[in-house]
Amino acid sequence: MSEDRNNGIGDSAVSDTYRDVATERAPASLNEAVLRNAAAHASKGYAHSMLWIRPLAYAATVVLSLGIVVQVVLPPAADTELPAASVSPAADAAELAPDADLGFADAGIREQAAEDDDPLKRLRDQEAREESKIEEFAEPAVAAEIAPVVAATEASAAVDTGERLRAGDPAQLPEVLDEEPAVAAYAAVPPDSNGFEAAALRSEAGIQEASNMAALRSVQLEDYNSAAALGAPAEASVCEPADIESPDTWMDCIERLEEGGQADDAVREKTLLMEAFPDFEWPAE
Amino acid sequence: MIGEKCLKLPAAALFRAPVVAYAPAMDVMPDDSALMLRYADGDVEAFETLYRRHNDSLYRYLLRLSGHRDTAEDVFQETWGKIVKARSKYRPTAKFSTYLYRVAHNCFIDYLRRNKRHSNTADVDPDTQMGTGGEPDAETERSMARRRLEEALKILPEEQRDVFLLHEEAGLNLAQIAEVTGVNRETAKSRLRYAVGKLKAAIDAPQAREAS
Repeated sequence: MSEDRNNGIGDSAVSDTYRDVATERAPASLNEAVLRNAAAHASKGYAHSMLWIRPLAYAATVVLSLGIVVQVVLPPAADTELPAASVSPAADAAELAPDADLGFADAGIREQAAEDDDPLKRLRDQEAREESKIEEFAEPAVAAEIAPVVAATEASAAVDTGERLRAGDPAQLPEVLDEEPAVAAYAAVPPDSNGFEAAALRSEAGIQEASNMAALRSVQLEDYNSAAALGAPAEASVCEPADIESPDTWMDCIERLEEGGQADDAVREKTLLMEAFPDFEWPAE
Repeated sequence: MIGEKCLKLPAAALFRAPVVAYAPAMDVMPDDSALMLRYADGDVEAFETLYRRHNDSLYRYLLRLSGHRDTAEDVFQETWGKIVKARSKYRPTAKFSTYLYRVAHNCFIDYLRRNKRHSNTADVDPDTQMGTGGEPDAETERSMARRRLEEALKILPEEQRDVFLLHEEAGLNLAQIAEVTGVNRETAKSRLRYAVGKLKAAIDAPQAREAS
């Protein structure tokens, strides 16, 4: 208003005169009617809103309470049943190879599994089996279960092999080397196999481990042979290293041992000489 | 120096809360829009406060606009009825008085359409407006000026009277008047200028005649 007056639109004299004139007030009856109407509408609106808000609140409370009770009291049945069915070896065997006799499958359970033609159950079983497979692959517990057995077996086998090799018994080398894959394969088989496929997977892992160990042992055998070819079994020989460099000097050493009364040492040195130099022509006695 | 002043002051003055010029006082009246929103939430007292702020000016606006007490009362009641019904749809996008007078303006236009026999012959009795007392000559002159203003207001074109009343009673500016009446700002400004000019000429008519 003042802005308009400053623009020259309004006029203070006109405005003041109008203020003197315009002194009417709204009749009290009119005020009362309007306020009564407003109060009636306000309370009606509130009542209307409460008509559906309260039942809705009660219903929501009941539903949420029931949900909490169900979550707390009842066990999660679907989560426990499916993995239990999936880890049954009989069901797995009947599912994977119905005609094959796997030996560990219970005949009654297997028949029941074969008779169960419910497609929904089969689908659920298949899904659960896939889940268990994923869990076995992903779960480090399996690796943790196998690892100590493999490590212990490998350690004992290595100690045994080392001892035998140090003992210089070449006759036992093929046996030693043949044992290693078998030990590794045995170690790779879990103590309690719960699934056909899991056992197969573990066997594959064991075979792979055994082949690795065989390769390692072959390297050790090659080292032993090369050492023998060079006359290296100095640990077992009582002759000086300079003596066993050639067959003639080695033979001189053996003769010295015989002359010195060390017959056993002389025999062992002869054996070592035969192994190290098979083409050596022994002197006629 | 400052310490001496502090010692002379009473203890209550030292603990008086500082007065910050820009800080709003705690007893500030709530905004019209806030009151309307509170009423939409069911607060009837908020509506009563809002109503008491605007009821008389709205009644005078309708009374001067229509010139009939009955018409003014009907439109007045209809206007507030619409405000009450539309409380849940109300959004404070504009000043509440703009919203209120737009509803009132539209209600009056609808009333005119429904009652085509409405005439502009006013039944407002100017004699009911009493003066405040003073010098007899001055009072007589003021009374005559009021009477002339009343007469001039009655014969104003309806659009110009509407704009003038919105300016005086509702306190709306040109943009708000334009929004209420549904015209552009320049049209509203032109109408207001004509209305004020005619009313001023009516008030000053005897003096001008004397001067001439």
